[in-house]
Amino acid sequence: MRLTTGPAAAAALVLALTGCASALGDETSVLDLATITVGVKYDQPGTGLRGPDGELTGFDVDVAHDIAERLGYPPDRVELVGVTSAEREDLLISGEVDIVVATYSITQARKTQVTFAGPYYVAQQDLLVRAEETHIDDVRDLEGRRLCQGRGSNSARRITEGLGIEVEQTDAPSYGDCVDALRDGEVDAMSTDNLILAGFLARDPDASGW
Amino acid sequence: MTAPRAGARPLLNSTPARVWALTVLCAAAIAGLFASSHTALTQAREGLDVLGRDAGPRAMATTELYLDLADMDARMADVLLMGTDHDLGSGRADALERFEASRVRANGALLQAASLTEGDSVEERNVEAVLDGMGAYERLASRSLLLNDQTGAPPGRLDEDALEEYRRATQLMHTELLPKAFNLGLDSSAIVRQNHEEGQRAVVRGLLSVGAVGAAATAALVALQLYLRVRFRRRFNLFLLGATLGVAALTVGVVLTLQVSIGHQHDAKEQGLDAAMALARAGAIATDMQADQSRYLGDPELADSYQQVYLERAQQVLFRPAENLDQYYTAVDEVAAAYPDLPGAQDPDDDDPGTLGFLGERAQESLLPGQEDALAEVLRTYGRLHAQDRELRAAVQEGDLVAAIGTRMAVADSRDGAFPAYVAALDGLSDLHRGVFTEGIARGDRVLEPWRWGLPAFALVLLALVGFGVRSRLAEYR
Repeated sequence: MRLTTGPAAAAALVLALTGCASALGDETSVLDLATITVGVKYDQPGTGLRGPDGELTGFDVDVAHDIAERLGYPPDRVELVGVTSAEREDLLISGEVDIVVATYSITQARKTQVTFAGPYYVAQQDLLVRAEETHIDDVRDLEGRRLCQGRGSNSARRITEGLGIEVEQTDAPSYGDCVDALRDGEVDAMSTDNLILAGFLARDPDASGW
Repeated sequence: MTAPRAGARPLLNSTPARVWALTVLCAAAIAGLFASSHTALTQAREGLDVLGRDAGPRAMATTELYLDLADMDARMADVLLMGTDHDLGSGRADALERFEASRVRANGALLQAASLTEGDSVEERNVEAVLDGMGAYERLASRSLLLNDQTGAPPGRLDEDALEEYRRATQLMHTELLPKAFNLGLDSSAIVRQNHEEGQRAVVRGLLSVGAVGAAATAALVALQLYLRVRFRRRFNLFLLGATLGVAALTVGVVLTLQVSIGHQHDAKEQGLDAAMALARAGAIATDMQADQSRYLGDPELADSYQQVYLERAQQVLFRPAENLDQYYTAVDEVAAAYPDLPGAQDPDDDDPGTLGFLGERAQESLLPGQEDALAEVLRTYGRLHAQDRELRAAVQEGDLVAAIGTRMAVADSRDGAFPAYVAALDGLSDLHRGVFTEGIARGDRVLEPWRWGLPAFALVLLALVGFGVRSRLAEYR
C-alpha cells in the first residue's frame, strides 16, 4: 500500500479532559485519584495498538504515561482503556475515562462538551491506497471511488462535503477493518490522519513506500 | 497548685492588675487586627500588581506571538504571489516592511514569554524551539523569495523551486512554530489564572481572619468595658465605647474593601484580560486564514488543502455548522444580520451547537457599554471579508487568475482592504476590554490606597482611645 496526496486538513492529536469546574469543590480533581484512567486508541499500529497479549502500546500510550507521570501517577497507577473515535466524548462525559490521549480533531462543537489541552502532534489528513493503485494520485481522483473511514470520524465529510467530491463511503467499526477492506479490494482508499496511516503502512509487509 | 500559678494569682487578684491585663489584651487584639488587615490588604495589592503590571501584560504579549508569526507567513505568501508586479495592493515594499515589523514583535514577545516561563524547563525549551524555528523559517522564506525574484516569476505563477522552499517554510510555521506559540499562549493564560486564583483565595482567607480578629478585639473591649462598669460603678466609658465602635468600623471597612477589590480584580481578569486575549486569538487565527487565500492562489497543487484549512480557521474564529465554504458564507451573513440575536442552539433537541468560536463566545458574554456596536462592526467586517473570499474563489473557478489575485491583494491592502478593516474593528472591541482591564486594576488600587496611611493611623487612634479609657481608672490606684 502507499500513501497518496490527500486533503491536508490539519487534525491534531490532543489530550482531552472533561470540562469540570474544580473550584466548585463537588468534582474530584483529576490530580486526586487513586488511579487515573486514560483512554487511548487500540486499533492503530504505532500510535495505540492492543497486542495479542492484551497490552496497549504505541506513541499515544507513551504520551499518556508521560502526562500521567507529570500529574503524579506512576505507571502502576495508570489504567489504560481502549476507546474508539465514536465513543470518546461519551466516555469522558460519563467519567469512565479521566482523559483521552488520542488522535482527536479540536472542533468547536466538541469544545462545548470536553476541554482540549492543546495539540502535542499536528497531523494532516491523508489517503491510503493499494500499492498497485495507479489511478489515485490526488484527492480529486477519488470521484466515484469507494472510500473507507473509521466510524465517528470527520475525514470523509471533509472530502465529500468540503471539497464536493462524490465517493461511495463506508464507515468501518475500526481503522483496522478499513485496512482489511482496502487489502481485500472492497474499498479503493481510506482516509484519516497521516500519522495513523503511516502506522498501518509501516506494519504492512506489502508496503511499497509513500 | 504549682508555683508559677501561685505566684501569678496575687498579681491578678488586685483590680489594677486585672485592668492592666484586660488593657494589654485589648491592645494586643487591636495590634492583631492591624497586622491581619495589613497582611490581607498587602496581598490584595500584590494580586492586583501581578495581574495588572506583571503576569497579565506578559500573557497578553505571549498571546500576540501567534499573531506576529502568522502575519510573517502571510506577508511572505503575499510577496511571493505578487511576483514581478510590485504595485499590487499596497505593494511589495509595504508587505516586506510589515513582515519585518512582525518579526521584531515576535522576538519581543518571545523575550516576554521567556521571562514568564522562568524556571519551567519545558516551557523554556518551547521558547528556544520557537526562536530556533524562526531562524530556520526566515532562511527558507528568504531563499524562496530570492529564487522567485531571480526567475522573474509573474504574479500568481511562482517559480517551482521557490514554491518548494515556501512550502517547507509554511509547513515549518504551521506544524512547529504556530502550535508551539499557541501552547505558550495557553500556558501563560494558565499561569495568570493560577496566580489570580491563588491570590483571590489568599485574600478571602485574609478577609476571614480580619473578621475573626476584629470580632475578638470587639469582645476584649466589651469585656474591659463591662469589668470597669461593674468594678467602678461607672455607666459608660466613652473612650472605650469609641474604641469598640472604631474596631467594629475598622473590621467592617477592611472586609468590605477587600471584597470590593476582589470584585474589581475579578472583572479586570474575566471581562478585561481574558476577553482581550480571546480577541487577540481571533485576530491571529484570522490573519492565518486570510493568508490561506494567497497560498491557495500561489500553490494550485495544494489549493484544495488551503481551501479546507481556510474554512477550518474561519470556523475557529466564528463557528456555525457548515460543511463547505458556500454554506459557511451564508451562515456568516446570517449571524451578522441576526446579531445581537444569535442563530442556533434555541432548541435543546437540535444538533446545532449554536454560534461558537472566539467571536461567537464573545457575543454570548455579558455586554459592556458600547460592546454591542463594536461587536456588530466586527461581524460586519468579518462578513465582508468572506464576501470577497467568495468572489476570489469564483474568479478562480472561471479561470480568471488575474482577477482573483486582484481581489486577494485588495483584501490585504493595508490602506483600505477588507482584512485590515476587520482587524481595525477587532481592535476597537479589544480596546473596550483592555479599558475594562486597566480600569478594574486602577479601581482595585484606588479602594486599597487610603488604607496605606489610614490603617496605621486608625490603629494608633484605637490604641490611644483604650489608653485614655483606662488611664483615669488606673490613676485612682496611684
